[in-house]
Amino acid sequence: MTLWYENDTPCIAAHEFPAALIDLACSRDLEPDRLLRGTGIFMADFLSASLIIKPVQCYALLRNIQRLMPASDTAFLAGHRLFPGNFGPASTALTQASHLLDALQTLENYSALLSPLLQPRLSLDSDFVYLYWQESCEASDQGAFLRDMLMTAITSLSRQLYQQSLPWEYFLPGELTHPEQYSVNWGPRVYSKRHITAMRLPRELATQNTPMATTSAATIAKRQCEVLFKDKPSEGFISHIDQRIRRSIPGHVSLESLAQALEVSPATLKRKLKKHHTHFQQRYDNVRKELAIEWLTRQELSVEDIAARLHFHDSRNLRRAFKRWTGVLPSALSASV
Amino acid sequence: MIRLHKWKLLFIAVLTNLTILLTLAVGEIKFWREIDWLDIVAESGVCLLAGLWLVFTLNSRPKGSVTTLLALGLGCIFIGSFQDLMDEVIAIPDASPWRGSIESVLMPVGLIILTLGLYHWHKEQLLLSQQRQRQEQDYRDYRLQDRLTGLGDARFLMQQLSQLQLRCQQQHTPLAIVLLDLDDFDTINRRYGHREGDRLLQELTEVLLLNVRRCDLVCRYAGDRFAVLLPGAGEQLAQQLGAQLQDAVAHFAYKTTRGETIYHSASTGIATDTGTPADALLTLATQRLLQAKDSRTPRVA
Repeated sequence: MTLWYENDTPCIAAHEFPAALIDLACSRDLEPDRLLRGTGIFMADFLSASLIIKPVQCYALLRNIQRLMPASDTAFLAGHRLFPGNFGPASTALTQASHLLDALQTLENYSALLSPLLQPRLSLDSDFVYLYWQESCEASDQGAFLRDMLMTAITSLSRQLYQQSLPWEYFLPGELTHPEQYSVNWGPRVYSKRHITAMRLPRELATQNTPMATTSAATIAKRQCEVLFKDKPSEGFISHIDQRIRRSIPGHVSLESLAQALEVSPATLKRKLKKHHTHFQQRYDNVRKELAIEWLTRQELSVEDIAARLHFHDSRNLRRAFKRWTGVLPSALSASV
Repeated sequence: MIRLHKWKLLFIAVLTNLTILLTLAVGEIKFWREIDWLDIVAESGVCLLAGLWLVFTLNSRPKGSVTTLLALGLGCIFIGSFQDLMDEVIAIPDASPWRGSIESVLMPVGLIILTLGLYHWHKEQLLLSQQRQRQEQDYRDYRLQDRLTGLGDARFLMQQLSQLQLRCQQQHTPLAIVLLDLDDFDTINRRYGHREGDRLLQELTEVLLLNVRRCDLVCRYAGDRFAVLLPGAGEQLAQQLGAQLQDAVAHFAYKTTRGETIYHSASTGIATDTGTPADALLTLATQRLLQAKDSRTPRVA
């Protein structure tokens, strides 16, 4: 059994995740020919509900949509119609979840199905439920679109579950390009320039019971998912690599040790990383950046401790690396939270 | 659009062919050394541009007398310049009555017809602008237009807001902004489909435009949130106009494609200009809108 899918692995059912995009385009009267040009997807195959496409085709579809629908609300509109969607038992598991956290766990477990291009990662502490989003399959130019789409989908799903808006907080890297869209679709608690892509909700809100849930339906749906996805890869290649690096820290990680763990030669691993438009140092830096931010803002570790855990010679070196990763010093970040 | 005008284009193409045949019939092809290449480049450029104007104009206009005039004028100019170009490669004998006459007749006639067409187009545009007054307030930029509703988008709003602030300060008149947001719009999307939601927003735009004053400006902020700029309105008048908009939305009996009627309520957030920057004013209106939403008791439609 393979543990991951690559950008040329046929693994995405076209009538599931991509359907939200295709439906959106069709509802705005885009011609299917223009929408699917260059993607290798054909409308007839799509409608047959048995077409499995590769992530690269999905990226091509995303690019076409953005070219043909350049309006700033496209990602949000697509997000609103993603869930419950047409995901078979996983859709039921989402809408019948006993509480939001339950639905988010379903999302994380079956992310290969529900969000094949952007990996959600749940993280809980005593006060909050955090949902981090990372590139799953390929370091692509579609990250911002996907993140807007998926975070809208979760916002919309939680509103469906509780029939009211939940006070999600959103953390985004960089400046907000369309503040009005975030304000209307996500609400007032959207924070820019945070160097991470995450959302969080007070834990007690995420665990309160939903008014409409039917527990047995959710349990059965989850069991059906387990059976259906038992032998399928559960995460994208990049996400798998990042996860391995993350788990190896605070030990030492190198391209060689990673290749050994994956049972491939270093050259093969290098080639695979290149195929996904990234390289080892980029992955390593990315994971260390995420960990450093997490430790700084959530666990309030000192810069010295973080430097030791991430194998920096001293805190000065970490500060310099941090500045390179994010553009700011660690002190700026810990002060802002 | 250009398909609407295939007969006009065909007519111009046939005329162009006739002039080619005529010129060939009466003239003789020049020798290489007689040809002035600089003239050829310059005149083919004019001819090409005239053709391009013709295509752009026809492609952006519906049928009608104004379009016919524009097409005729530009067509004459095109054929005239084409004839001019052919003069460079085909020598017409001095004695021939055709020498220079096609060009010297078609060009001025074309220009006169085009002028006439532009005059009527100007009249037509004034009429349309009057209708779009409450959407664009004397400023138009298609790149800042929302595709769904035809209203200005958030960037257009911000641009107009800062300009209006300046103008109102100079004239010592107040200025207010109303943000209006549909309640439970996502439920409508979910229950009736997103296509129905899109149509609702389009029709709601009409309702809002009918219920504001001539000097007001309606924009689509994002999603189901609209912004109305009210120059000359103080706190009290803004409250009044905001309530009128809410009432108008509440009484709007939207019909779905299946013939069902849906009523809605809307919440508003109002802020009056106190000399703060445009985005601060907008933030204040947004805060009040969210407060109104939180404390909202279901309105009876």
